[in-house]
Amino acid sequence: MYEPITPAGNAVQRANPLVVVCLVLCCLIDGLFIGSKYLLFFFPTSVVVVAVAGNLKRYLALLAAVMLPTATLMFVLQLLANEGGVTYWHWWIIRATELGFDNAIHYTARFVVIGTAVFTLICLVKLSRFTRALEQCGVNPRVTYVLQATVLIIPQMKKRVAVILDAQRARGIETDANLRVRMKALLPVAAPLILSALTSVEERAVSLEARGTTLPGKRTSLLQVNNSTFDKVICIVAVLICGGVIIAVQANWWMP
Amino acid sequence: MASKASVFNLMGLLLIPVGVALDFALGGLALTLKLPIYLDSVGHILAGALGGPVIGAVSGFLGVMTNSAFSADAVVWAFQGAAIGLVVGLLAWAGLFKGWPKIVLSTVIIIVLSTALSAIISYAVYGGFDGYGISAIRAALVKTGMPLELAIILTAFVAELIDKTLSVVLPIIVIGLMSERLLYKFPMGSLLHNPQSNAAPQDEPTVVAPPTAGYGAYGDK
Repeated sequence: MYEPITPAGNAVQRANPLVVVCLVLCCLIDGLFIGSKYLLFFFPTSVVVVAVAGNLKRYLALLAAVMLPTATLMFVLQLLANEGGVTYWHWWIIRATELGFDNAIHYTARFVVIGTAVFTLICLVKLSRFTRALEQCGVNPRVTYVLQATVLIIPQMKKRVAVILDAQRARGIETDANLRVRMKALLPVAAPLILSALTSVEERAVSLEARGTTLPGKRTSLLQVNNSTFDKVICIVAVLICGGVIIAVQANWWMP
Repeated sequence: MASKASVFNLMGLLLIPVGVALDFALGGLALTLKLPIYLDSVGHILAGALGGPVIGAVSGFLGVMTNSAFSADAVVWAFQGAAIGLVVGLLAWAGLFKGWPKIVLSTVIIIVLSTALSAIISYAVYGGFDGYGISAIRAALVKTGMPLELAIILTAFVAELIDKTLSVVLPIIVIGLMSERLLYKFPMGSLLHNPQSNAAPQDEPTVVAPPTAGYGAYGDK
């Protein structure tokens, strides 16, 4: 007999990952339809929820390193490329106008909503619990293995790139010269990488086969994810609210 | 004992994580070598060519989604990745990766599809100015008086022309280097193999080995 591992921690940490994904996706879709004002609700909410889950430091680091530079670039380009209406600022051929400012706010807010949703999911959902929840819902374990293997193989592949790159440098291939020389270095690095990756597919297939992955029958897992009726009700309500908001905005019944 | 069909399916399925990881690793390699290309679609093009349309589409979707952890605006391009993987799988299925004239045609199809999807997604979601460096060139073209739609299509085409050409040619070169034993283990392997390229010339005389001498014949010389 085995004892299932029950998750420890607060309500956010114990929440069913499928419910979290459903809620965040509904918030994201609503955000794409509502507009920039939605960010005033979505962003602080996500910060609070991630803080409760104990991942605020990682979340803020992701925002600062990944989202802030892109959002700044997007804002500046939208501001300067679109011209129309009142001119706020003018220097040489650069002009910041009312239309540019409105577009900059609109599209940058849209990007921040997408980024907030992505980083919230990264900080709240553990892949092992997510794949286990999928399995409990009847998804084939081979499919969930693919999701887990994807995350496992990436660091291995990054290491392999570094090894091949060092090996080719040792053989005299230049990787720091001009563009033409660097382009020439691409094939000697990429070809062994791709070939070794394809060879590893066969090794993995044989290894999985030996472990009985393709055998039929029910799997036993130590990890159990709570999947209550309340979770299902939350998901259904979230989807209904999301659909209602889209209809209300599209039909001009509600103009935020 | 494992059935041949189950190993065959597993090989196809395992192409997905490997394709995603290759997208990631080669994207990183392009950054390391400071190349002005993305190279983040080689993995799902390879997965589509070797595994078929479904494997290619899933690999493309997951590849872009994984990249979005490091570039949040990339999420919306997941559908472009899925579409490219799907089309590559269909092209391989139709035998359009056998012989260079057909490979050129396939590359043109992929570039056109990729340009169209890239331009549509960029315009619809971000108004044409997404978070990539090429948006700066786009903005400069708009400032010179070029219509926004034309600037988006032009810059997307130039970017995709170089990137997708390399992304198709690299897997094709590697598939050409693969042994037949390995190639035939993948679901679409038999459709990618060009028998004429590896066949021995017909007019070459067959060398018949002399009858093996029996034990002790060496000493008779």
